[in-house]
Amino acid sequence: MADRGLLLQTGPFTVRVHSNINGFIRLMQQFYGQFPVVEAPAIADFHVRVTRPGGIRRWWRPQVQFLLDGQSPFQPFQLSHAFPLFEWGLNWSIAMRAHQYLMLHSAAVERGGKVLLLPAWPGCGKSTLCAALVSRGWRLFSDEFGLVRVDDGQLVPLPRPTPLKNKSIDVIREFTADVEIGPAFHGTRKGTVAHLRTPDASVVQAHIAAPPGWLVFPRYRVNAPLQMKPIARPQAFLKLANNSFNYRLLGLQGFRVVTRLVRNCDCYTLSYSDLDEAIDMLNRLVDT
Amino acid sequence: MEVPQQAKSTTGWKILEEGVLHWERWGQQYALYDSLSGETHLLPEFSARVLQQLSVHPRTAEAIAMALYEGSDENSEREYAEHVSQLLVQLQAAGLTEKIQS
Amino acid sequence: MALREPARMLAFGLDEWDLLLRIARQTRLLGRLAVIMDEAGEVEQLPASVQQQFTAARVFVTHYQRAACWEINRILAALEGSDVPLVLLKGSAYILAGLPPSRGRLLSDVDLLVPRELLDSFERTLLAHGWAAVKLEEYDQRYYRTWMHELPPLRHPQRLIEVDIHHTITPLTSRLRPDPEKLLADSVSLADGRLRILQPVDMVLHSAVHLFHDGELANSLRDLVDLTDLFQHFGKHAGFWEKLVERARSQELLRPLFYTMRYTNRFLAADIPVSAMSAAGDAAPTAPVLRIMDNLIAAVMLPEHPDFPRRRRVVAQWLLYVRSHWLRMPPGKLLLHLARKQIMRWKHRQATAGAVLHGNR
Repeated sequence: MADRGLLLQTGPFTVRVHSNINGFIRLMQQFYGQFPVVEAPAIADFHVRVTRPGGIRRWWRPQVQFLLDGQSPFQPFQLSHAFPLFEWGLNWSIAMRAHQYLMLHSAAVERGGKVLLLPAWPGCGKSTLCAALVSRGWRLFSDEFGLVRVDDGQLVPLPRPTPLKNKSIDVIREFTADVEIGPAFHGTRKGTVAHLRTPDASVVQAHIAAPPGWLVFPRYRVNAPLQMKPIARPQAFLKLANNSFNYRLLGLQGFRVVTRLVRNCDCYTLSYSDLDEAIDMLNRLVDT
Repeated sequence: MEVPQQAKSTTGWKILEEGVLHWERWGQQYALYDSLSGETHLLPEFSARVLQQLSVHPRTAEAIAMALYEGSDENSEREYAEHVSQLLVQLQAAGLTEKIQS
Repeated sequence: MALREPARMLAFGLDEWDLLLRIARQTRLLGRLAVIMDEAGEVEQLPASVQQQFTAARVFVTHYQRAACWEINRILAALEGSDVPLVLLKGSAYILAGLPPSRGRLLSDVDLLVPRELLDSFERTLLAHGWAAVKLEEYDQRYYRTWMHELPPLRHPQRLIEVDIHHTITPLTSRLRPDPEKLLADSVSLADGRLRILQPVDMVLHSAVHLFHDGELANSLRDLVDLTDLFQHFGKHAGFWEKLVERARSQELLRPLFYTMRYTNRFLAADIPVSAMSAAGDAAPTAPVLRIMDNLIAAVMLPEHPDFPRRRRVVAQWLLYVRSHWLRMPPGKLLLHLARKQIMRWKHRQATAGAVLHGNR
């Protein structure tokens, strides 16, 4: 990886990653080992370097930086957080550039040939809910991006390791034995972060797009009774437009694409505190 | 029906440009994309109807009221026209309408 | 050069496309590249990944051009009733006048030229209609007002475009003194009578001055491309070249014009007529200085490989930055300004280092 770098395919994106940080390289093998390797020569969508900055920080409180095309958009992290920095950096890079898609800020999972979208709000618990659904057989499209093709409105998978924060890590660990949780990184700007290895099935089917079927705005509340209510479509439309990474950039096309998506979906809000109950409800929603 | 007299001040209004307003209807509400400003609006039926009237050709608030008002009471119609007028001013702030230069 | 020969790009291998796309993005020419391939009718034959990146670039370009046009629309609405002649400069001018440099162009500012005596009232009108001054360090504010040709930029809080209001095209303290009144007097009206642009020769000279004296020379390849476009577009009209040289002379801008012609010729095969080139040569610097400039410009203008930037480039860039400011400020003030900038940079580094020490950011 230090030389030409690793060329990896995640969903529709080809990413070239260079690094000479051994701990990071090992984690890349752990989390992306099952992903398809791209044969060179190839056109990469993102050229990423995960490296140690020079100067005094090489030795004293060593750091790691994320570079996209030689530019570092964020402050460096401490060296041991190279992997979460990469994950966060790649998300940022996609959100900044991939405007051939309409990008919703949303988890997306598929079942029975259609996609359930879980738009993100602070405290909504979408990543935890997403991880739980995936452990129960849903196909992971993404925990962060609803990638919508503008010509036909289908969602495109972008399977990646799912990050969990703080309590969610234990919640998922207790919820299912069927997941592989990577090392915990303490003291990141989001607290403690750990990543779930992407299920093989999701990676293998990453080339299979699917139409949207349901839009569910989740809200996690401690001790909240389970409640799923329909939400009026114009409200769902507004919420989704505001919640997208690039709705405004896409102009009229964005307007049409989001409109069509909402028209084609059943739209709800979901309050929950218990994962099993929530999943049950979503399964029933989809299976009817 | 009375023709408004020259002495009354009646401001003419117009939309900014033809073909820039794109509509999607959601029951009683209308989503509107304005391709000049790049803004998206969610409008109630009343606002949408007024704007759609104006999209056909420039006119005064009174003329719009005449086209849309469904009652027969003259006072109410004048009040309605007043509402229309206020709405047009609000829409102007949103970059959707402008006054015609006399 | 890819920009000049679209047909050759079809023969590019994946590795070449991989590099070209990165460099184009870095030099703000990705949108232009997409347009060139569109115009050549060849997009369908390109690799899928290239088409996708072009699509994304087109989205950006469309969005920012729309935003700039809307900003101008809102400025005109705010000026309703007042008689200020509004002259558009640079990107906005190209776009509203439909000139070749507008193709695939990304822009984030709207630049306007306003008569000096109307500057304050114009600024006040915009402020009254909701625009606010972009927060600059206090030192930069003073610098902008006294020594530069612009008020601090304005921005309406609901929008992202910055509005830069100029009353001349070079700073007040510059050794070059083109006459803004002549620029305004000879400006050309657009279809919308409230908007004007500089006449062709002034547009070229303004771009030349901006490129060679404004100090932000990183990635100026795009500006050189603009100038080449303008030369080709206006150069077709009889008398343009003679008028250009004469105007440059009378506005004391012959040297920037000389550099512009020299480097558009060298790097972009602009085909400047020999007569114009030699007339502008009257303002050429001495041979040693010219040699240095040639090297500096080559080091800075031509894009680097994104992964292997040469150290020389950084030094060259800094030298050019200093030179640009030397042309703008009396030497004593220059040293003060540079020292101040260095202190601010150092303080910023300290502050961010502190932030990192106290937990991850």
